[in-house]
Amino acid sequence: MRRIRPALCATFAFLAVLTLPTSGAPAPEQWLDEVALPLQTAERLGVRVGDVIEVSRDPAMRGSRSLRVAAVFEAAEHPADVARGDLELRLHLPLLESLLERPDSVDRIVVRVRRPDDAGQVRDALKAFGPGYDVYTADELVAHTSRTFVVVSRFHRAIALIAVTASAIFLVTIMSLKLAEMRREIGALRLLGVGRQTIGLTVIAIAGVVAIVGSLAGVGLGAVLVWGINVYYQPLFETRLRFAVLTPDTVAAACGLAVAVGLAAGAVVAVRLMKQHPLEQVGR
Amino acid sequence: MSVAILDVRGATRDYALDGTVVSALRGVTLQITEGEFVAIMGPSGSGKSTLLHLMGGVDLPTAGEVMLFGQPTRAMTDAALSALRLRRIGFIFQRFFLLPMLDVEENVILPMLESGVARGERAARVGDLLTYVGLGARRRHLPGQLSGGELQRAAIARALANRPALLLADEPTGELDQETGREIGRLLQRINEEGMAVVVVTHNPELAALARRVLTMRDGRLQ
Amino acid sequence: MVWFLARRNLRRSVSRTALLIAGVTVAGGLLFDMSMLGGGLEQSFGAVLGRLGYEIRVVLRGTLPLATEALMAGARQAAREIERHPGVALASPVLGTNLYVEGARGQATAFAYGLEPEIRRVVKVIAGQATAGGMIINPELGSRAGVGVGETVRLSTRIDPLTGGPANAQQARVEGIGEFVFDLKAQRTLALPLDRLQALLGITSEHASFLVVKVRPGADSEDVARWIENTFPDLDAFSIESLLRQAREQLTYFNHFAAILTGVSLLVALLLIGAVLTLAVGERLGELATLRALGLSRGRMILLILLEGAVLAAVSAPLALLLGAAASRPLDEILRATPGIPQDLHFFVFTPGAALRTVGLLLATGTLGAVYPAWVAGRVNVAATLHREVQ
Repeated sequence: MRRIRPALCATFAFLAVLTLPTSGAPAPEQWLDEVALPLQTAERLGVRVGDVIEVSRDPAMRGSRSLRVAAVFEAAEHPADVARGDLELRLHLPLLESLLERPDSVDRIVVRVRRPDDAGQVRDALKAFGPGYDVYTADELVAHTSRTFVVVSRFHRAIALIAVTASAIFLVTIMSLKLAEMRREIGALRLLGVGRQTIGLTVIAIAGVVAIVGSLAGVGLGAVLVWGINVYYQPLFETRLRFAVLTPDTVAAACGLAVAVGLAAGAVVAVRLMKQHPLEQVGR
Repeated sequence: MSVAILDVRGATRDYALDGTVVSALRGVTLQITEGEFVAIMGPSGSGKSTLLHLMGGVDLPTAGEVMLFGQPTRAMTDAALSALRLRRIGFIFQRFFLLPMLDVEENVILPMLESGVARGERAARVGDLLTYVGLGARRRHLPGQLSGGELQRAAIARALANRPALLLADEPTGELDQETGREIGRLLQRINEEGMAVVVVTHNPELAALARRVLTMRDGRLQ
Repeated sequence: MVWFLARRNLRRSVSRTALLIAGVTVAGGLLFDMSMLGGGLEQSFGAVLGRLGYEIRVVLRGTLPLATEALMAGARQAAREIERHPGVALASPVLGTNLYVEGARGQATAFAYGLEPEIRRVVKVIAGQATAGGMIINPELGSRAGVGVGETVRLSTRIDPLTGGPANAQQARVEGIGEFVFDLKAQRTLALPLDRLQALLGITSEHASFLVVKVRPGADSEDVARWIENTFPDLDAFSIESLLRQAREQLTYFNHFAAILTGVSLLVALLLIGAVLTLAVGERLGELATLRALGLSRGRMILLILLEGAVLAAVSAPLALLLGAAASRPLDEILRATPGIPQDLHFFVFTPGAALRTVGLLLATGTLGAVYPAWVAGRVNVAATLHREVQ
């Protein structure tokens, strides 16, 4: 038997009528001694369907009840629950009320509306019901519980801005040096009669090719890193949620920025090279 | 009796080039004594510059021996050879090789900095040297602001910075016009007359004529 | 000579050097920020906990250390027994709950602490005074309810559904305005005498949310906490150290994040300096051969290039610290917008150690980045290079 304290668990008591079919259902008295566990909780406790656990509101397990594990289910993972390590039980509402000795007292009431589009109107009507209640639509609740992740997203974007700035300076510096190495060859070509436009476009084209190849290599490296991050953190936090995701938008933005910066660097170098006299470029 | 400061004994220098061995120098033997002025002439590819590099300890012979101030160069460490070049040998190059981001004065004091000459002594010496080579008014100019003759005179001043016993010059007038070449030649002659041994590699017969001994090289051998 | 040349070489191409310094500065700024982030929140949390005025927090077994929902029975009795431990200076019950407050400007909810007189000084009074029987509110509640020192509010535990106003309200006079540790941004908080709050809630004097324990100087708070847990099987005791340990585990993400970005910053700086110096060495092989011919030894040549890398990093370091310090403020504000973060908590905390670490790492990276170009410079074939330069 296992001793579980409801105080440790996020307990959700669902009215049986919402979760079980009405026809052919067992008598209510049989429901009262059953509990459902998410897979993670069952694994951590080492219990399976049919096992019996003891549950009490008292740390000394006074007044405990023996409950049979009726079901183990795959719970949808929420990012907010990652790393919290909470245990969760699902009991029938009358059972939890009797355990807590708090009849007719709940933390929240869930409402299913006839038409989902009416959710906002129903929310407004319920708010007007009386003070002391907070009413949220499911979308609002999602936004509310996602606030932490909005903050984390903003933080990541801020860091990305700094990292991109450093990378852009890196790219411009290397491109400038590399292309400037070609000044003797360029000087010789100009002395031979090759036009400035041809040379300028060639320099920009070289910069573009380097930027494109570099971008693709960067995307490959990024994909490897994304894989590595998920492989490392998923077992660490015991979750199947993905911590890093490479999306088409991210790839497009990264490649676009790198190519744009590379071409800009090429253009700057091309202008500087064209300003130098060809004799100066060949070192005379 | 003059002391040999440079003793080349049967020096050979071979290079591996695309799988074949090229002999730039074949069994050269010669001695340079204190205060000598020697010119080495010969066509391009005869091994003159290779011989000069061996003399200055910049390169090592494949066979034979080069004794610099009584010490065999092949037995010396890089640090010892570098110290020898720093304090006892001065180098002048055809292309001058002044550092472009340093002005004339800074180029001249470079060897003094490396050899640890005190600041006060440095200032006095660089002033004397620049006056000696006629660049007193150009000390703050960058190499890019100097003519060919001025560049070579600055290079000579740098070569003399640590008061070497031996001055090695590789085509010192190669990039200069005739008149400027004569000026440089006269400067080298003056340096020699004041006691320094000078070895010049040159195509310039006028410069060679200033030397007390002229050697000719062909196909890596002294004629 | 090498020190002289290392400095002067950086002035050869001003635009190139400026770009290089800019790149290393940005990478270094990020490095500094990550140095401040790694351990910053833990340090800030520790500082906040240090202002509590007590060392151990005792809660019902199985509840969270900072939770207040569950009520502890026999709290006063437990506190008296805990005080018998020789290492304990004081043990006091604390009650925490939500109340409705009605003032001149209207109604607001507020979190209420019920405190005994000996621990009321955990609240830092900034206006008025903390009398034995009086109420202290925080500035946010004062502003929201429209009350100041000396004015009266009505307190209630619930709203009357018929009237919409506080039910069974009691009047309370504001004796002082104070700052409460752990207040969230815009949180409204008040403190009442414990017995008064218990009476308002209709619970006995033995009920409380948790106990706070102050240990005597020299006593080990971890030992006392362990003794409490062994003596009272229904209770968990958390010392400040253990709370910090838990916080450290919860902050794994930030520490990993900081470590990864530290590595990325160093890599960017290393590659930038290494690549630029390698190209620069390639450009001036003739000069390097000349220096060798003039008498610069191979070892000194290598030292010259290593110094150039170190000088680049040294010039960038103070700029990196400035940039990192400037960037840390908006970054800190972004993270402090996380729900549930006390307003006194910071993620980016400046310490001299973080600055020294940044400077040290940058210098080491700059020098390391110069290793390959230094090796290339050291291997220059002097004679061949001089010969080639003349062609």
